[in-house]
Amino acid sequence: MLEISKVSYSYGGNSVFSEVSLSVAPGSFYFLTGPSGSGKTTFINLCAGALIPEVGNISVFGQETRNMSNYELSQMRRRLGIVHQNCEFLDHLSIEENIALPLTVAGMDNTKERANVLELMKWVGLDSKSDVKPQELSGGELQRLALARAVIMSPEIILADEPTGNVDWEMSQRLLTLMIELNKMGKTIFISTHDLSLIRLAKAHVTARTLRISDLKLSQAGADL
Amino acid sequence: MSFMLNFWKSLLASPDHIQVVPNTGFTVWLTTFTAGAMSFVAVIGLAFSLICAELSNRWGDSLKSASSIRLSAPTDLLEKQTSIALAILDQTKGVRSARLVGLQDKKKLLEPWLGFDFPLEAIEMPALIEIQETDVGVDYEGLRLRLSAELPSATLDNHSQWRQPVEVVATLISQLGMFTVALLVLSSLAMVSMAANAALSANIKVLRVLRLVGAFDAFIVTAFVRKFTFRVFVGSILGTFCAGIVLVLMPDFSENLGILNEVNLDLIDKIWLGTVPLIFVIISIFATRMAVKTSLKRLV
Repeated sequence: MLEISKVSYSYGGNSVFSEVSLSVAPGSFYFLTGPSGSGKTTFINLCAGALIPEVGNISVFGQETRNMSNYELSQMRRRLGIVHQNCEFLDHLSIEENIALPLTVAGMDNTKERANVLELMKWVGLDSKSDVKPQELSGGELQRLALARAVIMSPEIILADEPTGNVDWEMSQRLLTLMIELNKMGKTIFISTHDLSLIRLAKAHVTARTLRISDLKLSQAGADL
Repeated sequence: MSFMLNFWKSLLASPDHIQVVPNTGFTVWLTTFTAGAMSFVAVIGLAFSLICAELSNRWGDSLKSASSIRLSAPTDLLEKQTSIALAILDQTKGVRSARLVGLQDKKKLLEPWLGFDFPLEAIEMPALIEIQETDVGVDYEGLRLRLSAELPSATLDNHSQWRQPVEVVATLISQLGMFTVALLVLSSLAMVSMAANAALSANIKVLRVLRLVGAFDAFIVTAFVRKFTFRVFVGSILGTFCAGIVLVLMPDFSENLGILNEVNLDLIDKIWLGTVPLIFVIISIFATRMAVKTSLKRLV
């Protein structure tokens, strides 16, 4: 599903990874951890096709991102749900329209899919704010909005970059619960976080593997977390 | 080729494309105002170019087909000599018409110098015959030889000393008009491109979000092109309308300036002016398309 093979990446000569490899199976749950600036966001961006590895290959759904055209990258992104720490939205659209945006750009009939959108809004607890604009939401609500938008197309993989970075512990727990529910539905979850308590909490409910980026390498974290 | 076909189809299709580009912000006014101002200038510039072209053609044509004979003789001989001259002209090939310029016409011609109440009939004036040529033209050398044999006092003037410089000026004015129109189209393209780029810079977040949720480049390009082109069209219609009002309200000097008589925009000219918003729409489609594609390339 997601194959990372001997990938190296650097910014202006400063290496972030060196020959990193990973094979992600469908339905698995991964945490990616490491100190600030270790390359967690770069790793997520590489997996999402927003960055192309300098050396090595990243293969998503059997296709190398390096060889994908813009059209193929867009097709791939429709099968990925991406949540960033500072997720951006279209400020002129309502919450409901923002969640339905992936359907709109995919040319799907929003009126037919409206029931799904409303169900999703209820699931993330934003059903009472369907007509509100994103700038009126709190940090936690924005993260839930980002998650709802990421899963509206029923993606196979969800890549979340520090999704709890801007929210309190209660909201972090709530977001994690949503992620666990998605994993139980068979979705592959990949979360980058520096919050070790979140990882411990997740491990109490789901089989999750933890990867650590340090010294340009990706390694499996031990049970000491 | 198929991309272009899909692009044109999607341009006329679903309103979803428009929805994703915001309707607010200074860029809306920037685009609409730029299109309006440039359309105004384009219509005025084009109108003056068309009028100048017509004027220069008229000057050229009137001098090309006209000449005159001046007869200087004592009053008692003048009438007889005029009859002989008219008879000669009647027999000359290439002469469409020959007319003796009457006293009233002479007064009108000399009015700027002598005033409207000058008693022209009190002084001895040469007779003046105005000749209009056919398209074939007159053999002036032959006519001059015949006049010198039969009417030595007659002076034939085929306006050759005027014709060439006026023709040069007329051609220059036409070329200047064409150059002005070309310059207007190019500057409009530049202005609309700059407005589109400024609008895209302000909406770069929209591009990032659309990319994130898996929008195809064709969708993004179409969304922006439709939105911007609509704004440009509205601005251009307003600019053209304002320019049209200015042209209608322009004072009519034609009665006082003989050479400008009935110099107006005809139906074909007005149709040309009416195409300005359409030209701006085409310019906008290509300029915005280019700007969005460039911005998308920078995003990857």
